[in-house]
Amino acid sequence: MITPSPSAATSAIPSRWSIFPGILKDSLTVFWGDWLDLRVRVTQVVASGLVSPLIYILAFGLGLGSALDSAMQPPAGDNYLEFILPGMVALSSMTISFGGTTFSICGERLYSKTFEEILLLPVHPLSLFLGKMMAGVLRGLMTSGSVIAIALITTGNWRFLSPLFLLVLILNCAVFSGLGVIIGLNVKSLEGVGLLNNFLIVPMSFLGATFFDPATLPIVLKAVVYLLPLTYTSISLRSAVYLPLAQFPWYSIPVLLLAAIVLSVVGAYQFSHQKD
Amino acid sequence: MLKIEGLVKRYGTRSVLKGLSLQILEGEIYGLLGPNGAGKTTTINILSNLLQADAGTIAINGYPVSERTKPWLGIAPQENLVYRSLSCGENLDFFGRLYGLSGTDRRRRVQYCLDAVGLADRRSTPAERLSGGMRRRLSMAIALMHNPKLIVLDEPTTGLDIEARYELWELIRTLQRQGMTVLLTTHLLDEAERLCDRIGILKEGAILKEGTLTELRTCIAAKEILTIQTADEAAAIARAESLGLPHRRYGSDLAFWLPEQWELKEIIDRFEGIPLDAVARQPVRLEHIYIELTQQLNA
Repeated sequence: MITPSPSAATSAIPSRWSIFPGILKDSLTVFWGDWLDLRVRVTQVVASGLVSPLIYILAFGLGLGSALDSAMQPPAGDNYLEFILPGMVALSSMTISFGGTTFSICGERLYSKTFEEILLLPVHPLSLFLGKMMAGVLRGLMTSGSVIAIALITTGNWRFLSPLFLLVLILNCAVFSGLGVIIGLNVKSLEGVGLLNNFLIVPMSFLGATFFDPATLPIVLKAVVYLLPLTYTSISLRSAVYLPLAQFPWYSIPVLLLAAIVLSVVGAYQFSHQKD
Repeated sequence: MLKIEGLVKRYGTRSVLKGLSLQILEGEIYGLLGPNGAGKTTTINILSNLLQADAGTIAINGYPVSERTKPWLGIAPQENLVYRSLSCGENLDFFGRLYGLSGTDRRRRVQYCLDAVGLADRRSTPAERLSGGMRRRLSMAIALMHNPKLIVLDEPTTGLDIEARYELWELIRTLQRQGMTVLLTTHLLDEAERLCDRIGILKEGAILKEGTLTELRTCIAAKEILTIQTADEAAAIARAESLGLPHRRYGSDLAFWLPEQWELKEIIDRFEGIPLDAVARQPVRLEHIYIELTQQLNA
């Protein structure tokens, strides 16, 4: 049963822990591990994130939209359905990036306990955070990819696949999966996740400029709406698809990037102090 | 290999570790025994840098425990920490990557670990399809993947059937033969007795007694333990006292400490007149020492 042992992997104190390429490599490995776990549930992930956007597309885009289209012209897109489609992409990417990541970490922490094994590894906390965040980005892209496919079919507008659109989408996934990692590290039970989902994600789904143009809001409400990261994603995705490049809200990219960086710092700190 | 000195850990006002000190020599199997709540898992969590001690030091190979000593340490926790949807090979490969093993080394190491724990034929089987014993072995293989100097096994055979237990014991012995140092926590006394070179008995956050089994046996002034079943226990105890034999209760069993080996006939002669239903002699076991020490503390 036993064969001679290969040479020791580590015989001296390692130094790779503090090296930046090591952080990147380890992040990719953590991501790869999550992908191996995720690959058997791809259909499930895609399907679970499609339900809400499809309902919203049917109810708001086709139902309410048909009445609105006869009364007004949307600020972007030819009709209300087209107007909300980029918002639906933002919404689905947010929901799954956040929810999938939070539930995954909660499951590892509270049920399978594999999270403890991860904490035992000589891996930089930032790598752990980034790896988990990247897995969340992948989850978000998988689900929003289906919504994009629906958008392509219904509008025939290939700008849903433009590099700018995809860049904003990835940043949005990064922000919400980053938030999901931090929440996942802190909640004490799955009920806590549900609570945060109800008080944070559900309100943001409706207030994050997914169904309306925030430019027309009263100033106080506008201030509230622009505190939400989803707002920047929705308006940017909409502009990327329907408006000329000159009208693209470029400030959205640094805002989302900054949010992702701040969350990464907080997340890495959380990982370094995580005691399960 | 491992030196723990004056380790203190409090949770609020409750002290879990009260100045725990122990030393484990290179290549030995050290058994840390103790009841639930004695502080075994807390010690392991501090050792693996998952918890901060309130006082005291832990050094591995002369270096204080930190992120950088993690590669020297392999830990197989109580739960089987395996990714259930990943195959055995993928689990090992994943952890090998995170321990920084490069391609060829990693592949060789995966094969070695699968061979070592007897799961080579299950390389492509998802962990969720393994039996409990196999999952425990996979968890141990993960702990071995980076070829640590010190492996910590936290109650490794709890919940396993006897065959799986024997297999794991054999694996632990093999690891020792290969030069690995093993810290084994268990509350199964026969496991510690069979495997450990030295044993530390932990109670309420401190080591009550430490040593080899032979050294620990000196805690009990007996060569053998005599257990009897009788309808008249009071008479048996009175007779034993007159013979100078201390008596103890091990569960519901009435037992006497024999200062030397007595033949069966001698026992029957000395308890003449007392209705003996059954008589059993056994050597002093770790359970007798453990109970004696822990009861002394309670007294």
